[in-house]
Amino acid sequence: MEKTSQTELLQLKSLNLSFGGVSALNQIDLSIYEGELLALIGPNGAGKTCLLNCINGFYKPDTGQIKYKGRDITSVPLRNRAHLGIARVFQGIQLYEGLSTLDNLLAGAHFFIDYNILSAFLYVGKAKREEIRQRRKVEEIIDFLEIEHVRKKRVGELPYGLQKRIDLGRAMAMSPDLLLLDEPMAGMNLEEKEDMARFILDIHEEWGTTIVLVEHDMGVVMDVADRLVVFDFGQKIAEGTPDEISKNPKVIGAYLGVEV
Amino acid sequence: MLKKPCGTFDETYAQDMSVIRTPYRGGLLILLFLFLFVITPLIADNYALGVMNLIGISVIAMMGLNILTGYCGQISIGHVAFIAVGAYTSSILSQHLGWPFWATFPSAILVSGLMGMVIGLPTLRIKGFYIAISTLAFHYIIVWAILHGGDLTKGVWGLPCEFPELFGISFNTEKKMYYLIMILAVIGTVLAFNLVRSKFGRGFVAVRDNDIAAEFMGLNIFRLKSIAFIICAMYAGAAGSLYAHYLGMITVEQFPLIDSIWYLGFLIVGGLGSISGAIFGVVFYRLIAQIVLFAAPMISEALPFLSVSGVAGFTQMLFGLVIILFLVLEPRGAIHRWQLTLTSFRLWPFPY
Repeated sequence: MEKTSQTELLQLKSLNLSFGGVSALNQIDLSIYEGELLALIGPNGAGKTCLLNCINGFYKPDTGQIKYKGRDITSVPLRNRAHLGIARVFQGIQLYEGLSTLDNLLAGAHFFIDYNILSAFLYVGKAKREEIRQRRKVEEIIDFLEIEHVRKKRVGELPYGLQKRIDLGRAMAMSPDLLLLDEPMAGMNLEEKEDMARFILDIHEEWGTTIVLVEHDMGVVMDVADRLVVFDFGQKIAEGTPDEISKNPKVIGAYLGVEV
Repeated sequence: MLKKPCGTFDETYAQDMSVIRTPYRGGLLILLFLFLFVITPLIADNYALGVMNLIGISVIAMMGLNILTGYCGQISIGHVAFIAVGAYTSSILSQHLGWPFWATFPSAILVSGLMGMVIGLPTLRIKGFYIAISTLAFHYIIVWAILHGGDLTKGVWGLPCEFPELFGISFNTEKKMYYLIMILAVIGTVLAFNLVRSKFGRGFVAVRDNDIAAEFMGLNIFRLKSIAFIICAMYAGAAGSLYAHYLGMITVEQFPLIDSIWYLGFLIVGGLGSISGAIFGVVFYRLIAQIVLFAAPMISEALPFLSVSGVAGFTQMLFGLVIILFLVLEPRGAIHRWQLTLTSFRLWPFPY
């Protein structure tokens, strides 16, 4: 993957986060480089989702610093980080069930759509132009994810695999520079997993988006990731290419296990 | 026929987004206009026009609540209080300052909107059930303010209010009032319809369905909720102002808490988060009320142990029953059932 540069997109410096007495993240130092596909792995409760939440701004770390594109964003609130280009696909389904597929994607692009409430009431001129402009962009994503046939269906009525894909589409509609995927393949069958892996790789390669992937399916992770970071009990225990990680005795002991 | 036949595709996004997608839809709209503005005024007597006028006013109020509760998911049981604010603003301005309708009407909308903004503020911290209770508190504050308003509101005695006058025409009959109310109701509905298909409408539903995800997506939840509150209050203010000018006299008893609950009931019956559903809910309730009113003497005759006034109270029981039935059988409202019926007609005889 020659596209991976050595420019740091995101830098985490000695991040600490604890809930009550439990230390969820312990002195995490991590750099995410522009254009790479980084996978976070580790047992349940190791702090992977916590770390994503810190990057997103949903949790504020107790101590430490988060730098994004060279700028300190530790105290930038959740909502504004989305505007900076950090998008998230959640664990499970977190769609707007009452909206159609199209509207879910358009809602993802909400902050790109620029018109005021008065033109919204009248729905002529600027409002209509903006809606059509955004629609064109969103249709590209719909085309890309092959969800044309459910464009106008309420997402609440769709099967899980499709909903997950729409969730990915909604994140893409935010035109992110950094895409955080929290277990995008949980609960999927093999075919759906293959589809999802293909979409993730395509986003990564065609759109050049930097991706952080949390996933338990080792087969997928080892195949798609450029680099892996392993967590255990809130600590980073290893970091490296898939080959290095699969041979690392610490990782095998904590997570991968030994073949019997 | 309301949808395009299979194999016919839109060629531009503007076409795909348009409302009048087939000639039949356009035809239906024209029929509706004819019914509202030509046929009804021709054939309806004063009594029927009076019923239609109340429906029109309720529809305007309903549009606001539909945006706040139906789309944005914030339950308000202070809706009637907002209507009262609009009604009293209009009456006070017209009575004490002699302002004409064209000035009192927008003022009522503005004052209500300001109230909505204030009431919307706590939504920054609270949601769901708790927001409902805070709007309940608002209702009692307004009632208290009206009762203790001294000369301004005339307490329990109520305030008279002039008939509207626009362009030299005094709207002093049911029929004239009917045109005014219906035109405003149509405008209000069209505006609401546009709003809910805009980015704001999507934002409202996003807040309703998943506010945490919405915040991750960069939506300003607090701002959206405030906007919903303000718009809801403005619609209520418009309805209240019309109500005051239409009745010519308002008292605090015309704004009972139970009406706020009924408004929520209309929403449930019609279908939360649907413009046509909201209208259906209002019309349906008023029709039940009329049917019961007409049937009351007959029922009372057939069952002598029931007095006429006793039977007249059936309206609320009947509508209560209807709400329960809808909650059990079709929680997504009549409009959802209607869409299912339309789809099954379109697909017949195939299962899908």
